[in-house]
Amino acid sequence: MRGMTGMEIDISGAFDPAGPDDDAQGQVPTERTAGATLLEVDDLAVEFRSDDGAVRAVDGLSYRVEAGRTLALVGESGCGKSVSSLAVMGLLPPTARVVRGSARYRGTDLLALSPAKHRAHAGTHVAMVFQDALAALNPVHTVGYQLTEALRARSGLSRREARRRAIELLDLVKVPNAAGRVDEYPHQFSGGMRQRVMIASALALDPDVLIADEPTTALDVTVQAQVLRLLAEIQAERQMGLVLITHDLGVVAGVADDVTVMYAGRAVEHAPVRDLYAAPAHPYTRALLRSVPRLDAGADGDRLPVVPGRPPVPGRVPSGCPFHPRCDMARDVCRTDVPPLADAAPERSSACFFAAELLGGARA
Amino acid sequence: MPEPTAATATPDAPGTGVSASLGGDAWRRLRRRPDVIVSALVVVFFTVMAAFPTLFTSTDPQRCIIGDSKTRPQGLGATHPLGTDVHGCDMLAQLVHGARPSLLLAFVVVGASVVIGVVLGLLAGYYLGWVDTVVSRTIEVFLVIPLLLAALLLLSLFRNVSVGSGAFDVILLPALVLTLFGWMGYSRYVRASTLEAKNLDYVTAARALGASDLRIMVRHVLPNAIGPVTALVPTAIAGVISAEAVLAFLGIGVRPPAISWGIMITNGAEWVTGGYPYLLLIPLGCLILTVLALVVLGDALRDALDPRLR
Amino acid sequence: MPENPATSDDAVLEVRDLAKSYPVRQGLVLKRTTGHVQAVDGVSLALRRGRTLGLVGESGSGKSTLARVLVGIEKPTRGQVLVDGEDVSTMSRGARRELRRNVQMVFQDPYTSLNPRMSVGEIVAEPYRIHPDAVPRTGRRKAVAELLALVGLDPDHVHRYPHQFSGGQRQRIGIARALAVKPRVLVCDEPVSALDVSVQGQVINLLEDLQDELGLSYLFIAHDLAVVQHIADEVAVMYLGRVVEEGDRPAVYKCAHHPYTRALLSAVPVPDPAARSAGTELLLEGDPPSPADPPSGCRFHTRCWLARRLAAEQGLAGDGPDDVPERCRTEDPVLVPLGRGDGARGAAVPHAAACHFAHRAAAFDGRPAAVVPEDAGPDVGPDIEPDIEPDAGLDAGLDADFDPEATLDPATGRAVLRPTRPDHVTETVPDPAVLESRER
Repeated sequence: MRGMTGMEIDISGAFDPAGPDDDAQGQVPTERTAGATLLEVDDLAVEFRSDDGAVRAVDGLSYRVEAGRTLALVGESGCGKSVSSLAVMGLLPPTARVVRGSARYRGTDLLALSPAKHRAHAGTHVAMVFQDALAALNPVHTVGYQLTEALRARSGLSRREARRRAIELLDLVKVPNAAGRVDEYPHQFSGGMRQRVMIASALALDPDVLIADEPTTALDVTVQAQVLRLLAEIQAERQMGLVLITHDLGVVAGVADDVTVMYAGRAVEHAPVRDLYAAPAHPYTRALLRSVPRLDAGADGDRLPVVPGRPPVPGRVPSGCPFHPRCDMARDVCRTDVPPLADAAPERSSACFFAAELLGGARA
Repeated sequence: MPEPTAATATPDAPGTGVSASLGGDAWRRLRRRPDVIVSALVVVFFTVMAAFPTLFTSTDPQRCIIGDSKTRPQGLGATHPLGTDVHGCDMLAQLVHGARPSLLLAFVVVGASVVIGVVLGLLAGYYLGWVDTVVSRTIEVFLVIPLLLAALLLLSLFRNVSVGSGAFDVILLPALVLTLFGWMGYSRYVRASTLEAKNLDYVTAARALGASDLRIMVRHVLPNAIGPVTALVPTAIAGVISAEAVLAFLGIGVRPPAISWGIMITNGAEWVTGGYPYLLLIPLGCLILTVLALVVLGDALRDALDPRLR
Repeated sequence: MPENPATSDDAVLEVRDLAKSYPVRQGLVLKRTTGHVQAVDGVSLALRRGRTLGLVGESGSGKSTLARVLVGIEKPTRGQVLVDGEDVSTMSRGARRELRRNVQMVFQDPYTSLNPRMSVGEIVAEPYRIHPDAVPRTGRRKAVAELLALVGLDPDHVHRYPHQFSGGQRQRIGIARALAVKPRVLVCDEPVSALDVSVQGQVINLLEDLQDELGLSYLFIAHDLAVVQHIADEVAVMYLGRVVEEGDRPAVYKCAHHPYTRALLSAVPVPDPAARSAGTELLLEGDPPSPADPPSGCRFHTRCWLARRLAAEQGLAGDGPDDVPERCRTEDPVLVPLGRGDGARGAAVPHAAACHFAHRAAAFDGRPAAVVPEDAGPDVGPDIEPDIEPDAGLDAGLDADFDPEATLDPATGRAVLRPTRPDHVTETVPDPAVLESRER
């Protein structure tokens, strides 16, 4: 079975993923040229209903996903990074709604579609991988059945054909002995293997964009490394756009091309990955980078640098710059005015009044 | 890292959250809900009716004049405000005097079932092993024996035993039968949620501290496992009241001359299509009102006792 | 490094040849025992007064089971647990309870480790209800307030409920509860892995402060080697229920000898895109095997990169799971001290590894990754120098003035490719003290 690992699987040739989807925009191009913009989220705002009124979970988030590139959405719990991708996918819980903004997939604004069309369209071209693979897989169906559920629903694949496709998909994500395991149930798979199955099922429709929401957080470091490498390989091979949602700056450094750092529902910094790590243009990014425990740092008894306080809870975001209570650079203006996300240097932007100062300090 | 949605976001304003106690908070929360107040009034009303029937009617429910049979409701102030039944007995008097056996039976049966069911379910779920085997098999045995068959058996056993005619005595037999066959549901629910709760970290934490099994069960497992039971109770009360009517046919329900809502409902059901729907609707309405009130109260109580919902 | 070499008399908590197995039962009605899962299989460790022992390994390595045995939630199938040199199993029930007070636990998940229906005051005071003689009844309220202040929480918050606190604050509540009965050992089971990155440091620093203040000893269990490196004095690495490598922190981190330790270190993501070097990690294949059916010989041989490369060197194919040196498949390696004169160098714990070819690990891994690709096939064989001085790496690692730049950095396997990295991040920070202020 190992021999099949390297097999090229041409799913897009077997059927047209855009075929069954009759949206007003007409035909959707399926070829992906590196650098082409696939998904563009602009000024997205999402609100949750609560007893205390509307709570803004995402506020004016914009990002762009390009073919063959990886964008990392980085932030701590409650910063809105997961909510924003659920909004793109049309999977928001009933208590939440999009109040503003657009999410253009190859020109079609997904958020302007009816909910059913939105989900269908997003589900075909944008796939999502969740953190908890066990919860995302149905325990009463075999892995093979779940892998090809979407395929059969959309293209009327025969049972035998579907099983063959499922084995190919499992091979693609390097599940050993795929032909033998295709008829097993999710609980018979280990955590790392389940996450591979999730990735395989996300790839079943050959999506343009893959959104991976903390895909390796529940895994051991050794398995995390395997899964990250797998994602990178598949992305490079298919020229997909990859959105990696994570809190782990170590992971980001290893796989991302561009990084958007989020705090309290907003993007506070956007930069190419090397620039960001070399010289963060926002105090929050800098604080995050400093608080990551590093293997290569001298660790003999020194205290870990910490960010005081904790991330704000949605609905209780401080006035002015949301980071100002935890910021060591905060001045009066930070308490009153919200800093906009503005260009700080070529290709990068920062939502800090003193971004230039930060970057200047780094160069000095 | 799970990202809490705003729905679960919790206010954390300094200085505001100094709550007095769980009980005090629960009371304050209950008072703010009008549906809870109305429900409480309904329950109090029927409880008073059961305790002091003479406050509501001076007519003897046993005094039936066959000539007045099936008099339609005449409104307040008349001889028969709610009319009479087939035998010419006053509906209001029957309803009022039927409240005590019905409600008493319901509370005794449900109370005893909950105690038995919760204790057995908790023990089975906590200790597993042979305790669980015994409890689970017993549950299955009681589930497969038909209630009516067992009732008939007991009936023949107790046919000649004379019980008194006090408030408890008239419901003794039905209470016994219904409790015997009413505890399994609670047991199964509690067992399942105990299995879930006992592996949570805070239970492990208590164990690591050296807490006794009793303490762990009472302080940590039970409060977090009892939820489903509170949802079952109000409907169980309705079930008991109507099941009693069935037992009455077999002669082991509330013993005549005592009357109950269950008997009234069964008797009234025959005349719904005959143009006398009020014979059914009046006692049934009382039953539904009581149950709805209890549902609202049970719900509110559960919310009020859960600190997470504050 | 301690001033005085520690002796085993110093151990406040010690386990000897500890094993814990769970029966595997099958059958619906009549349950038959069909096998055993060896969660922990012959582990000996000593935790010294005032020190921190880091315990690392993948899930399924048995580290959490070991923790549960240590705090008395599980009974060991074999072996001894000694608290202050006394065997817990030979004690009376009452004495054991008293002794168990000395070993308390901090849990991983701050969201499930606190009873949601109890107020913070009740949670922190619960240990006193279980051990009524710990603090007299009248002093408890004050004791709870002091504990909350000690862990950096507002003592006025005793009436609040857990859900009103953030993850980091909840973890502080859990620590306060563990400290209530004045234990001497805290078993911390992944105490920060569920917390936000910016909050992790706060909790780690709190634990370090408490250790200095109260003279606590920690058994710090984590899968994050970078976190362990910050807090541990000594490190033990577990794989499938066994300790495969142990030693002082610098020895293990700078000079790991077990191929598994090296793979673990290599898998830790480095927060630096400049260090990105595709394919140089010592990627382990697959997941750990099931503890119910551990592999024969060395338990790690099915995933061992070193065994593959050695096999390649010997002319075997080197890519199948069985293409490993005969010895790895048949002979179970024991934990043996490495090299000469470790004790003389002042190490509290002699650096030891359970690998037949421990001295070869550095030689293979230390080479530039470009020369030894991840899946070393037979063609790599000629590139490998078989005659490596066995103790070269070891001596470097134990040298007090060990300089990672001067030697190959075997810790990550990537260091050799890295330029001397200017640490921009720390350079730009104006005043570290400002950032160290604690969360209220």
